[in-house]
Amino acid sequence: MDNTLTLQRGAASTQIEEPVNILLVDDRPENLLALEAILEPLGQNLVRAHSGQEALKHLLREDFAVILLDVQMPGIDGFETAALIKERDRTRHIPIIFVTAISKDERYIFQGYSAGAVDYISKPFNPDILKSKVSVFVELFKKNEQVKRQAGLLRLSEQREKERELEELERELERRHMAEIAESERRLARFKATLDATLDCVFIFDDQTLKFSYVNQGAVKQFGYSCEEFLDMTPLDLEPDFEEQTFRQMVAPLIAGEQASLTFQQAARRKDNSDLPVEVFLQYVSPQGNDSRFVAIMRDITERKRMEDSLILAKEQAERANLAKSEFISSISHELRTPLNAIIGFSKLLLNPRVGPLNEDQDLYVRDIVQSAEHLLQLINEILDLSKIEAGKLDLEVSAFSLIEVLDHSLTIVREKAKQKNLTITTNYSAKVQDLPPITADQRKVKQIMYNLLSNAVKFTPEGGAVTISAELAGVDEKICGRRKTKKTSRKGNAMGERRTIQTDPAVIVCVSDTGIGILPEHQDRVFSAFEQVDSSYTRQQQGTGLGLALTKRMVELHGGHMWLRSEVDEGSAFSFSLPLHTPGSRD
Amino acid sequence: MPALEGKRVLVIEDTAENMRLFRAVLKLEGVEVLEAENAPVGIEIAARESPDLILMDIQMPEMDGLTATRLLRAEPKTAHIPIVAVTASVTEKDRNKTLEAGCDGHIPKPIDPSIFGQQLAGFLKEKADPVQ
Repeated sequence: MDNTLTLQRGAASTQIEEPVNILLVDDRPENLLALEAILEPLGQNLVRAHSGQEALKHLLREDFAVILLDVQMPGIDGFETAALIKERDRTRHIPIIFVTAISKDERYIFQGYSAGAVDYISKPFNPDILKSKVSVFVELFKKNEQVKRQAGLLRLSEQREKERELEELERELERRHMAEIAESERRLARFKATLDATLDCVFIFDDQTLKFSYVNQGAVKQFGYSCEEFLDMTPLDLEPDFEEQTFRQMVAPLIAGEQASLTFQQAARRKDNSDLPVEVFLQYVSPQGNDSRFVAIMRDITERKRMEDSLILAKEQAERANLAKSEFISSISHELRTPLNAIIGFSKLLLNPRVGPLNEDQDLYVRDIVQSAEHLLQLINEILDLSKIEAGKLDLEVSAFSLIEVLDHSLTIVREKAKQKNLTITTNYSAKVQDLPPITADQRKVKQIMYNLLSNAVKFTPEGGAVTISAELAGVDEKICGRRKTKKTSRKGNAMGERRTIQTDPAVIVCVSDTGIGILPEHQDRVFSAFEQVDSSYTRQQQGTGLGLALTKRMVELHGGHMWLRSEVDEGSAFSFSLPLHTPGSRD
Repeated sequence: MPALEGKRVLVIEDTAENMRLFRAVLKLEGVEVLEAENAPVGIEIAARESPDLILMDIQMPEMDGLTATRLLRAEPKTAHIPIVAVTASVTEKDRNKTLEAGCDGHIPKPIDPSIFGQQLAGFLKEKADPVQ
C-alpha cells in the first residue's frame, strides 16, 4: 500500500493525472471480471481482450502500461501472443505479467520468462500482490511518459533558447547594420563637408539637360548663387563664352569615350556679373553605363593669372631691356666710329710720305696713335658682334665654298706678323679634307674664326715658335686631332654630351696649335667667357680685348659646331672647333 | 680701273673733321672735291654740278643719307651718279638698307686712307661700264 501511495504521490507530483491503459487478456469472462475487481482501485483504464488476437488488435491501436496475459487460451496461447508482442517494435517494451492457473511448475515459469514476461502470477493469486505488481508497472510507465514528456519539454526549451539566440543575433546584426549605415552617413556627411569646404567649385550636372544636380559650397561662395538657384541653372549660365551647341560639341569626345577629361581655362561669370578666371576640369562619369553625368571642377586661377601676367611682363621688360642694350651698343658703336674715323684717318694720313715727312719720333708716336685707335676699333667691333649674337640678331650668310681656300687665305693675313716674329707656320690637312667638296657655311664668319685663332696663336707664341693648322674629317681621320678629341671627350664628356651627337654628323675639325705660353688648367674654362683674359696685365701687353675667343666660340656655335681647348703651360695651346659640313640657312 | 685723278667727287658729310679728312685724302688722289655739310645742299650741288661720284654720310641731321640717296635716284639729272655710302652704321642691316636705298657701295667708317682711293675707283668703273 505504502508503495502504491508513494508511487501515486510521485505521479501527482509530476502532475500526470490521466489514467494509463492496462490490457487484461483472458478467454474467460469471469477471470477478466476478477482481474477488473482487483485492479479497479488503481483508477487506471482497464481494457479487456478475450483472446490473443483481440489483444494484438488493441495493441495496434493504443499504448499500454502493462499487459496481464493468460497463458492458456484457445487459438493463440499466452506464450505465442507474448512472442508476437515482442516482435513488434512499438510493443516490445510493454511489460507482460503472465497469469496462469496451471501450476508453479518451473518449466512454465521458464517458458514465460523466455517469451518476454517480466513477472509471473499463479492462480489463485493474492489480490494485493497483483495490485502492487501492476501498480509498479503503471508507475514505471508513467515515469517513462514523464521522462518522455520532460525530454520533449527540454527539446522545446532548447529550441526556444535557440530561437532566442537567433533573435539576439538578428538584433545584433540589425544593430550593426544600423551602425554601419550611420557610419557611412557620417562619412558621406564628412565627405560632403570636405567637398563643401574646398575652395574649388565642384559641380555635377546632367548630361542631357545640362542642369546642375549638385554644387558644393565653394561654388555657392565663389559665384554668389544659392544652391536652389544653381539647381535650375546649367554651366552655360556660368560661362558666357559658350553657346549650347559649341559646348555640346566640345564635350562630345568625352561622351564618346575618346577622351578621359577636358581641361580648359576660361573667364566664368559670377551672379554679380564680375568675371572669374578659372581652370575647368571636366569629366564624364558613367558608372555602370547608366546614371551618366558630368563632373566639373573649377579652380580660381586669379592668382596664377596674375603671376603669369607678371612673368610675361617681366619677360617683356627683360626683352625690351635686352633690345635697349643692343640698340645702345649699336648706337655707341656708331658714335665712337665717327671720331675714330678722323683719328685713324688723319693718323694714317700723317704717315703718308706725301703728307709728311715726320721725324723719327713723330713717326713712332703717330704709329702708336694708329695702333691704339685700331685696338679701340676692334673692341667696338667685337662688342657689337657679341651683342648681336646675344640678341639672336647675328645671322649667318650661308654659301658654298672651299674650306681649304678659306683656311689658306686666313693664313695670308697673319703671315706678315708671323714673319716678323720668325714663326714657322705649317698646314696639315688630311686627304679626306683635301678632297672635300665645297662646304656650306658663312664664309666671312669662318674667316673671322680662323683669323681670331691665328692672330691669337701668333700673338702668344714667342720668337722662333711654330703655329700649325690641321684639319680632319670628324669620325674618319682619327690620327691628326684624335688624341686631343679623346682627351676632351673623357674630361668633359658628361658636361658637353651634345658634342658627341654633333660629331656623328659630318663635320670638319679644325685645330690651330701653337708653341706659345699656354694656359693654366684653372684658367682654361674662362678663356671663352666675354671680357675675361687669363691675365689682365697680359691683355695690355698683347693688346687683346678679351672678347675674341668668346666671339669666336659663339660664331662656331651659330654654325652648330663646338669649340674646345687643350693647353699645357709653356708648351702651347691648341684650339679646335668642329664645323658641320652643311649649316642650314640663316635664321630670321 | 679708271683713275680717280681729275674726277669730281661730291662729299656729303656733316662732321667738320671728317669732311676735312675726306678732303685731304681725296686731294692726295688728285680729286676735285665738292663739299656739302648737309643732304639738301648736297642734292642741290649734285644736280647743278653733276659730279662723277658722291660720298654719302648716312646719319645726318635734317635729312639722312638714305632719303637723300632716294631723292638723287629719283631725279633724272642725278640718277646715274654713283653713290658710295661712307658710314659709321656698319651692321649687316644698315649695309643692306643703304644698298636698298640706291647706293652703289658701302664703306664702313673708319676709313683706311691708304686704300680709300682704290675703293672709290672701283665704283667709278662699275658705273662706267653699263653706260657705254
